[in-house]
Amino acid sequence: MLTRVCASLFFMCLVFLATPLPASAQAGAANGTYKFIMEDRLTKYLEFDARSDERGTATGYMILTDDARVFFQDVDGTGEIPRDEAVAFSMKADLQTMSIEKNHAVINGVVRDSTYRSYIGKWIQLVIEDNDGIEVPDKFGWSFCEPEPGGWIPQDAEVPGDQGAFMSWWSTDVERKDDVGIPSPSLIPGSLKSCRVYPTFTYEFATILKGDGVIKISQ
Amino acid sequence: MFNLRFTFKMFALATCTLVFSVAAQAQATRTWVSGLGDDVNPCSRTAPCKTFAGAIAKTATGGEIDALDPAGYGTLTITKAITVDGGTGTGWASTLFSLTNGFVINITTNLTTDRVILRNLSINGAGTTIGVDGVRFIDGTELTLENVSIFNYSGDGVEVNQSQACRVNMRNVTFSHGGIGIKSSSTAAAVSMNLQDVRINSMSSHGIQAINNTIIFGKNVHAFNNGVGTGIFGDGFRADGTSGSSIINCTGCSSNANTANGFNALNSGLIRISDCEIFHNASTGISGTVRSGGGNRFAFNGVNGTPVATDIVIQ
Repeated sequence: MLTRVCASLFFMCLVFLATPLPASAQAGAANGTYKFIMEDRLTKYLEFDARSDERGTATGYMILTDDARVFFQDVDGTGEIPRDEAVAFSMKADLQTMSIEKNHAVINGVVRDSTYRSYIGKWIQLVIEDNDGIEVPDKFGWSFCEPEPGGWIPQDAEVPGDQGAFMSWWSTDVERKDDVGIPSPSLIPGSLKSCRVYPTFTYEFATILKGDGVIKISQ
Repeated sequence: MFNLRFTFKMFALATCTLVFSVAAQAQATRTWVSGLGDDVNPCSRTAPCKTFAGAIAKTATGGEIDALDPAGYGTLTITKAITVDGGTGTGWASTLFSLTNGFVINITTNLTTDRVILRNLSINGAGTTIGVDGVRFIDGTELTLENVSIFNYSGDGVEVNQSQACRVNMRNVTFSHGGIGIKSSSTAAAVSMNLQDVRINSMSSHGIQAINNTIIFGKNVHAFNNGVGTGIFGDGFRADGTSGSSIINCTGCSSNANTANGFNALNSGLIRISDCEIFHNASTGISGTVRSGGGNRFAFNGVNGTPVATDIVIQ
């Protein structure tokens, strides 16, 4: 009898773990770690932990490392000197927003630290799909993107050509001459909202050749 | 008791399997680039890369890199079979190659599937110091160019320099303001080249130069105003077999207003022409071993020249 009860519990647990969690409200949490390779056969690693409230405001972090090094070309003939980065790419972002829809989540954040200085201050968007991990693997994709304009800039309509009330700051360590600094979250009030968010089913995920890890979405 | 322990073990095993799953998915046959992309992205349609060089590493062998929008995508060294398609939606993708080469194809695996297709691309060597070669085909089985413009360079628009047999196909390709339009040479096996709707103008030297072990089949190939470099005289078509025969066959072609010869076969080079126009070449219309299938028209060349006995059979 006890064996039957345990077996039933076992199968119920399996069904519970294998079923994507339904989600309809915005508030929730998502976390995961994933070590993987893509077509370039170089090891990449993703780690994130995000919690959001009903309004979609999120807190948490995201780490992305990639053994691949990036070669920057002067693709537009601006005179920029092509350069090959000396170290592998890695970055850590503070998460700002998250929207959850069933077993999908779209998470946005700002890069606060990176081995490539030019990435500090950039926006990153992480899209995840929480599956059973066996029949259907967890899926994810990320994108560094141009933030879309949002919010509003107060302007004096009676002053022709008024540029509006800008507010921005740049945090630097004055004791370090090489410190490039970190931009404020909103260079223009309400302007830097996030990367553009599309319906979750329209996103394409990264093509993973081989990976190991787990991604969880909960509400 | 044994059953209970067994069940717990099975439960633990299943949980571990779920948590530490190993996923194996399909390869990325198609990747994307965009002017707003980033090479740290996974190169998917919604997360495109910024350069061809960034995308090719994440593209499967034999796959395709597509451009989402017209923008500059940089130079590229190709070491595996690939298709690079600049798209036709709102314009072609562009590659600037000032001081360097635009595309270098060097696939050393020696497979029959080592094929490269460059399609819908603008390859521009403009800059303070202009680019060297537009496309260098050093190693590989087959190169195809479709709807490509190559311009502003000091070397060759397409340079084939191989030690193995290979094929080159061009359709709707334009070369302008370079050193030589197409230059081909092979140290051993033959380079077979099929050209259709190709236009070459304003080269400082020759329009087409087949040096060694090259055979070219051309239809609607037009060479105009070549040999404009300071102190340089250029031929429209030049078969220059110095250490291996080179043959140019051309139908419906034209070679006009070049500073040397319209069609020039040197050493063991051979040219066959049919229904071609040869006007206003400063030196000679046809020179050397040039055979005619008839229908050719000559005017205002320094000397029109006379074809040698033909081996073309008209039936």
